[in-house]
This record gives sequence, C-alpha cells and structure tokens, in this order.
Amino acid sequence: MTSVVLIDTVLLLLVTVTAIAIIEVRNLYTSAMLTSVYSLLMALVWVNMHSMDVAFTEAAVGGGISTILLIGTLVHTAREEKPLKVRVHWKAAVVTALTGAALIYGTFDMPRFGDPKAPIHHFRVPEMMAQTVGFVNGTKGKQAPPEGFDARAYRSFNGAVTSVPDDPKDTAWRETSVLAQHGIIVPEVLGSHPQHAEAGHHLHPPDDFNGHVPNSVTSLLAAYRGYDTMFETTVIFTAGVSLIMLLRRPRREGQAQKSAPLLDQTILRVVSKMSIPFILLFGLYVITHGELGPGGGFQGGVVIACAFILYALIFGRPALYRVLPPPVIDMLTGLGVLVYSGTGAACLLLGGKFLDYSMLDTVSPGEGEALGMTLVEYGVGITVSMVMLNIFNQLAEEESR
Amino acid sequence: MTGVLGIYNYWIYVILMMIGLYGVIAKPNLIKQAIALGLFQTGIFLYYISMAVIDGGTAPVWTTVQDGAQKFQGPYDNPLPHVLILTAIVVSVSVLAVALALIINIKRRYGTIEADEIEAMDIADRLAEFHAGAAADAVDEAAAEGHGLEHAHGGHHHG
Amino acid sequence: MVDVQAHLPVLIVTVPLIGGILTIATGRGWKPWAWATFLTGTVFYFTIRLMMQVLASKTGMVSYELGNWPRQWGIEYRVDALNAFILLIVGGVGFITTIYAKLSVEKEIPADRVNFFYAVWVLAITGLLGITVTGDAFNVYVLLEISSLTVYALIAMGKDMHRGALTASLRYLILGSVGASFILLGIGYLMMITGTLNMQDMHDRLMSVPGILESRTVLVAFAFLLAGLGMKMAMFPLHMWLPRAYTYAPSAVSALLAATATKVGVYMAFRFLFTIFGVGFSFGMMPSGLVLLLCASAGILVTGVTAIRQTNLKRMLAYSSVGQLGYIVLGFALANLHGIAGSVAHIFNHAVMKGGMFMALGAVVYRTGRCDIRSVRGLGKQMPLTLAAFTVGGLGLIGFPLTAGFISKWYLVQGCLERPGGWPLAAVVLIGSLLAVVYTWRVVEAAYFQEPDPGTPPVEEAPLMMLIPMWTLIGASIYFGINATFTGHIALTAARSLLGGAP
Repeated sequence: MTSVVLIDTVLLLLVTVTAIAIIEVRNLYTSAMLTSVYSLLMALVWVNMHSMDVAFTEAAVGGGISTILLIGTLVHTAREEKPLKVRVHWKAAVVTALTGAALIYGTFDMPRFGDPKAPIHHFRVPEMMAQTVGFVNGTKGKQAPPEGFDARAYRSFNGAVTSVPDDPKDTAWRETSVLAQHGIIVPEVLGSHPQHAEAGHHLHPPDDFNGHVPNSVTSLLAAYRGYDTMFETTVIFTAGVSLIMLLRRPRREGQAQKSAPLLDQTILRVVSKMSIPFILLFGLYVITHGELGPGGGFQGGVVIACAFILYALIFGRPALYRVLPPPVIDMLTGLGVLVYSGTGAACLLLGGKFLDYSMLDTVSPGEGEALGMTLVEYGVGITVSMVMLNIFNQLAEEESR
Repeated sequence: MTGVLGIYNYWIYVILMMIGLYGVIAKPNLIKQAIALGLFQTGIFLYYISMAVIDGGTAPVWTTVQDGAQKFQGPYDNPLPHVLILTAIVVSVSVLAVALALIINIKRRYGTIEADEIEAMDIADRLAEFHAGAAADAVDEAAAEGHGLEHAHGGHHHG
Repeated sequence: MVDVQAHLPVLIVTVPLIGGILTIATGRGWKPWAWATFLTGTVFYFTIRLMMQVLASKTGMVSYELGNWPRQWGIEYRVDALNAFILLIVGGVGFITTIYAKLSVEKEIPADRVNFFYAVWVLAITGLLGITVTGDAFNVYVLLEISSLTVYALIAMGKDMHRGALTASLRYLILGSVGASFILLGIGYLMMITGTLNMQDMHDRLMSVPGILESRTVLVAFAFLLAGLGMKMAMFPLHMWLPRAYTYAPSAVSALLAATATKVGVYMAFRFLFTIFGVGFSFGMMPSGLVLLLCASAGILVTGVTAIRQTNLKRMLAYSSVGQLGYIVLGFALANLHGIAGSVAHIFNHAVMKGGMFMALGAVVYRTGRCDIRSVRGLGKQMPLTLAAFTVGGLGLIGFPLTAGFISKWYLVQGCLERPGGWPLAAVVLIGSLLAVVYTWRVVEAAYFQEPDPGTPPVEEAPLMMLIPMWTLIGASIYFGINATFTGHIALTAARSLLGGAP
C-alpha cells in the first residue's frame, strides 16, 4: 500500500464525515463554515494526489469565495433551516441508493486506482505531457519535426503500449514505449535539431513551447485545450453579468453610504494597508508563474479579488468605489474575456487558426506559444478577479439596504 | 493493493455524490439544496482526479535539473483530468453564485426559502388565477343564461 | 484579409462571443438590441455559408482544428450535414427572435439592464451554437454550462411579470445542474476507458479495442449520459422543469428556448448515441431503443392530454413542446432511415412552428398583458394576423397537409411502419395529432367564435416589429411544407450518416 493511498483513506473518511455533517446540521451558518472546512480537506486530498493546481483552486474557491457567497446570502435570507417533519426522506434515499448502486456497478470494470496501464495514461495524453504534439501536424505554424523523425510512423501510432512491466515502480516503460520509440526524447534527435541546440535549451526536448512551460497542467489548460478555458472564463463572466441583472437595483442619488465599520480598528487598518500590496503582488505572481508551477489566471485572479475585498471590508465600499467605480468593474469583467478571445483572433488575423499562438512570434513558434499563453492567463485573471469583486459588491450592497 | 482497495477512491466519490444528491432531493431549504449540489459536484471532481493518479507518480510539472534545463522525468500524474476539473470547479462556483442570487430574489418575493412553503404559494398563485378565470366564466354563464332567459321570456310574451 | 470561408466554424461561435461581451458597453435604449440583431444576423449569414460549404464538400464534412493542434489532442470543430442543419436552425431562429425581442423586452425588462439582458441573450445563442459545432466531448460540457447559466438568468428575468419565474429558474438550475453533472460523469467514464476526448477518436476506440463495449463502465457511462441528456432535452418523465420555465420566462425568451434550447439537447443525444457509441451499441446491444420509444409514446399521450387542460396558453404550449419532443425522440429511437429523417426534419419544423406560436402569444401578452384562454376571446377580429399565425402554427403541430409538420409526421409514420410490429407507434403519432387538434381548437374557438369579455378594452393588431418575425417563421413552416426538397434532402443525408456511425 503506497503512502498516497494511506493518506487518501484517512482524508476521504474525514471528507465524508464532513459532508454528512454539512447536510445534516440545521444551522445554516454552521453548514456554510463546514463547507469551507470540507473544501480545505478536499484541497489536501488534491495535494495528496499531486494535483496542485486543483488544490490551489479548491482552496481559493471552495474555502474562500464560496464561503463568502454563502455567508453573504445567509445574512439576508435565513439563519436556520426549518425543522423537518420526517427524519429520513425515503424517496430521496431510494433514488440515491439506486443511483449510487448503478455508479458502483460501473466501477468494477475500471482500471484500478493508479494503474499505469489505464488507457488514459498511455493513449493521447503522453504526447501532451511531453509537449510534442506539434510534431504530429508539421503544418505551417507549428515546428517542423526534427531530422530523422519518422512522422508517418508517429501519426500511425495507435497508442498501444507494447510492454508494460508488472512492477509499477519501473516507469521506464513510458519513455521507451511511447516517446523514444518514435524518436522524440532521445538525445541524438535533440542534437540534430538546430533550433533546440542553442544555449540554454540544449537539454530539453524539442517541444511545443521551447521548454517555457514545464507545468503540463498549464500547457493543457492554455494551449492544447485553450479553447475550453476561453469558455470557462466566459462562464465566470456570464455568472457575473447574471448577478448584476438579478441583484443590482437602480443606484439612488444621495443615498447615505454606510461608513466603514472597521475603520477605527487601528491594527486592522494598518495591517491590511501593509498587506494589500503584497497580496496583489502575490496574485500577479501566481498568474505569471502559472507556466512554471502551480497557479495561473484563475487562482491568481481570486487572490487579487481577495485583496480588493479586504480593502472594501476595512475601508468601506465607498473607498473601493473611488479606486474602482462600478462601471469600471463592469467593463473590466468583460475585458478579460476580450483579451483571451482577442489573442485568439489575433492569431487568426496573422494567418493561423484561432488560438494558434505560434503565429505571435514569426521567428520562433515556441516563443509565440509561450507569449500567447501568458496573455490568456492575464485575460483569465482579469475576468475572474473582477467578477468575484462584482459578486461581493452585489451581495454587500444587498446587505446595506 | 488489489481488489477493493484498488477502487476505493471510486467508491468514496460515489458516496460523496450520493450524500449531495440526497441533500438536493430531501432538503426543502433552498440554500441547503445549493450547498448539496456543490457536494454532488465535488464527488465528480474526486472521481476525475482519482483517475489521474499513477503509481509512484508526482505532480505533472517537469523537474529542473542542474544545468537549468528541464527534463522529462516520469512518471507524472495525468494532467488532463486536472485541467478538466479546473474548468468544472469554475463552472460549479458560477452555478452556485447564480443560484444564490436567485435565492435572494426568492426571499424578497416570497419571504421564505423553504421549498415546500414556496410551492404552496405557487399553487395558491395558480389557483387564484384559475379561480379568477372560473369565477369570470361563471359570471359569463350566468349572464348568458340570463340573456337566454330574457329571450325565452320575450318569446313567450310574443307567443 | 482573413479568409472567412476557411474559418467559418470558429467564427460562428467567436463572433457572437466577442460581440456578446461588447454588448454590455452599448449603453441603453435601442442600441443593445440593434447590436444583438447585427451579431445574430452575421451568425445567420455564417451558418448559411457553412451549410453550403458542407453540402459542397466531397467528404460531406468540414473540420477545424482549434489552435492548429491535431484533433486527437486539441479541440476539433467538426461539421456535417446534421450539425450544419442544427446550426442553421439556431442561427436563423436566433436572428429572427432577436428582431422580435425588441418590443417585448422593452415592456418586460427594466430599462437599466437591457444591455446586460442582450449580452446574456447573445451568449445563450453562442452556447447553443458552440454545443452544436464541436467535435469534442468535454467542450460540449463547457458550452452546455454556458447555455444553461445564461438560460437560467434569462428565465429569471420574467420575475417582474410573475414571481414564479424565480422558482422556475431555480428549479431548472438544480435539475439542469444534476443533468449536466451526469453528462460530465458519463464523459469521465468514457475518457477513462478510451483515453481521449475527441468524439471521433472515442468512437474509433470503442469500436476497435476488443471487449470494451461489454465493459460495465461503458454501460454505466451510457446510462448516465442518457439520463443527463434526457433532463437537458426535457424528455418525458424528466421534463418537470420545462412547463414552468416556459410559462414564466419573458415572451421573447420563451420563443427562443422553445425553438432552440431543447433542439440542441436532442442534437447532443444524436451525437452521443450515434456518433460516439454508434447505432449498433446504442440500439442493438442496449435496450435504449425500447426505453426511449416507451418514454416518447407516453410523453406524446400524457402531455397532449395535459395540454388540453391548461388555461394558461404559454403553459399549454410548453406541454405541447414536451409532446412534440416526444415525436423527435420517437423518430431517432426507431433507429431506421425514415425514423431518423423524420426526427431531424421535425427538429426544424417544430422550431419554426413553436417559435412562431410563442411569438404570437408574446404579441397577445404585449397587447393585453395576459395570455390565458380568456384573454384571446374575440381577438380573432382585433388581432387577425397574430391569431392567424397562431392557428397556422397549430395546424403544423397537428400535421395538417401543406404545413411542415405534415412532412415530418409522414416520415415518422413511415419509420414506425418500417419497424416490425411498429404500428402501435404509428397509432400513437396519429392520436397525438388528434390531441393537438383539440388543444389548438380551444384557442381557435375562443379567438374566432367567442365574443371578447365585456369590459375588456379593445386592442389593436400587434405592431409590425412583431408580426414580421412571427410570420417569417410561420411562413417558413408553410413554405417547407409545400416544398420539402431542402429539408427532406438534409434530413435523409443526416440520417444516412448517423446510421453509418461516423459523420
């Protein structure tokens, strides 16, 4: 039994207990706080399964934003749920049990947890992880394959792994079976490829991004499946606009704004004033750093939103509105998606396909890819931070009426 | 690690999902339903992330070696499900935000966030509409009958 | 400049996406509407060109690899006769409904958020188009969530007319999210087993890897996808969210939803059942044909009867929509050429007929402020064109000759009879038509043979801005009823390619 499974077992038991408590507890504030705990536990589960980006997002979204949203809603709806007439809702229990049984039935033919032979580990994804997908195409815009590279054999590769060793610790199989077999990561090939023989790049594989993007999660998120991410940003934007449409009331002139209740707390004021610039800086770092390590536009955007929310909490929303007036926030909300889709459209205007970032740099396509990914990460960051801020403002305005 | 333990994670995800689904169906409180919907979705996230794990794997970020150049050193956990779940988490928080906005509006207009009470009010609304129509119909019928009677009466007179 | 032809599939989605976001910057008054009309008009133009391109191409298919990544790794847009046709429907009806929306939105939506309303409106159409054009399973989910979120918000905007809009929207949100989660789960099961997300790639893997189709994982994936899609397209026992949503949504939104949203749900079912799993698995190895036929038949009969009992006409049309969806499901569940062709043709026919009927009701609401059966009494004389549009649409629902509805029902009955022992299904189709006669007649009777309620002020005919879009759709339903060459050709082409497995 590996350590992953051991920690996993314990954590997931905790998660399950928390989940039951969330559903069963009658005080809604307790329930909301427990969802925060639940999310943090989940973030630990993700870390344990080496999914740093998801853990980061879960902590920021589940532990942070969702809880703010829930508490903000509870303030003007209800504190407690009505006592139930029946202890167990039998109809729900039956539906749930049947659905669960069906799902469990489906798990019996699944590859076991962590199985290196699972199709998902050797079909299609290894090329994305090695960032060598561009070779397959060889069309204008993506790098040409290195000399001696048998593109035909590569294209006809059906993903079947010839020999997977029984010992799971022996992981050499992947390089040998999938990549080296087709001449991708073998040093000789690297040497013969002039573009990658230059200084500083001589060891990394002849990849799609010139080695700028060691974090495969980001390369998948912003490049290979960048189109999905554009719409993910649009989903956030849609949520923001829907909230404006549903909650915002016409602004009345001369309406007395509540003064900031926490402003006379000296320690809070000084500490927050000192920490806000660093939070902002950290947010920018997370966005920019997404290509190298965990992080990216979404996580960074949430962090930046938190800085502004903290500012609004301590110094009052009028102060925030002086820095960022609501119409500006509305416009910035859309700007992020526009940056993203505009990057895609720019690639199209430069003669490539939509979101083909390699068009952005005529000399070195790999650099263009990296530039495009940075741009779209900033787009995501702008939209996410401004939507989160907008949602907070709507809920807070609701409160002050 | 064989048998049941091999698919343990897959069962936990089912349990989490079912806790959420039970909440969605059984709880009349709308906020509870929204929270339960979130749990339901995290169950699916757990499933996806579990599928990404590979024995002895590490985070799918290439390790840097001494020359300052990156090297592909497997095995890495699969990044594809991670990416999909990042998207799905964003979707779920968006859905939560819209749901809460609706709930606030419902509280404004109905004065409660308990589904059964709201349902009763909705039915009352529809009944009121229906009764208004039926009452108007009855008045019409009465008027029509009255009209008919008048005619008959008039006819009788003539006869 | 840019070669539009080469980028058509992606332009169809990105032009309204970028434009939709810019809508919030258009200010107040008529400008957001004009901008939205321009955008949807452009999209409509693109869909026409794409349709022509698909018909002209030798392979019958247009593929576009986003970011120039090979389709197995990146995301692919893949358009064949079927989705080009659905795109044309969504684009066309979207454009016409947007024109129609102006007056009813002015009346029903607060003026200070009209720009946000149209932004969400255009994004809803974007989402529907995106689902239709893509060849990637996960991209379907993301776009599905865009279209769902926008639709929740649009329905809720009926809150100023009736508070029921809020509960309708929330109920749809919860059921819709559960449905979407099932779809996400099904996609996950499939990805785990096949290792890919590209639909064509998935299909190839499912067909080529030995023993994979017998896997219990694939079976459960199939069941959950079917359940999720059933919820999304409001298939009969899973339709609970639809009647309320259509009843309380703003008039223009009801017209848009009735004509496009559930149709795209059906399209997804086509893609998952036929393109990914293949007809042999979906209707040969699985009992889904039988289940779907039962659901569809029950749906046609039950909702037909329910529709007759409604006094609120929007609700009546909503139940009728669930019933008409039953025909569409019935058609493809037959899994034979004429059944599927009838199903595809009915998607188009129902979109134009029901869209036009909802527009007519919207005009009644615009003039009288109500839409119950009493409010249309005597309106046949006061709003002759509007009520005539409603009546012609109703004739289409019945399947009266010389309307488009006749063509699709003809195919459907043919499909039913081709199936061994399928005559009870043909009987269901005919009984459903009789039920449609009854509920349409109630309105016709009230409008033409009853006097208006004493005391109700007389109303004028609907304004031209409403009549023209309304009659464009109703006119289309007559035109394509008389000249069915185009729809028939497309429907049969699509049916052949679906039965062949791959598009």
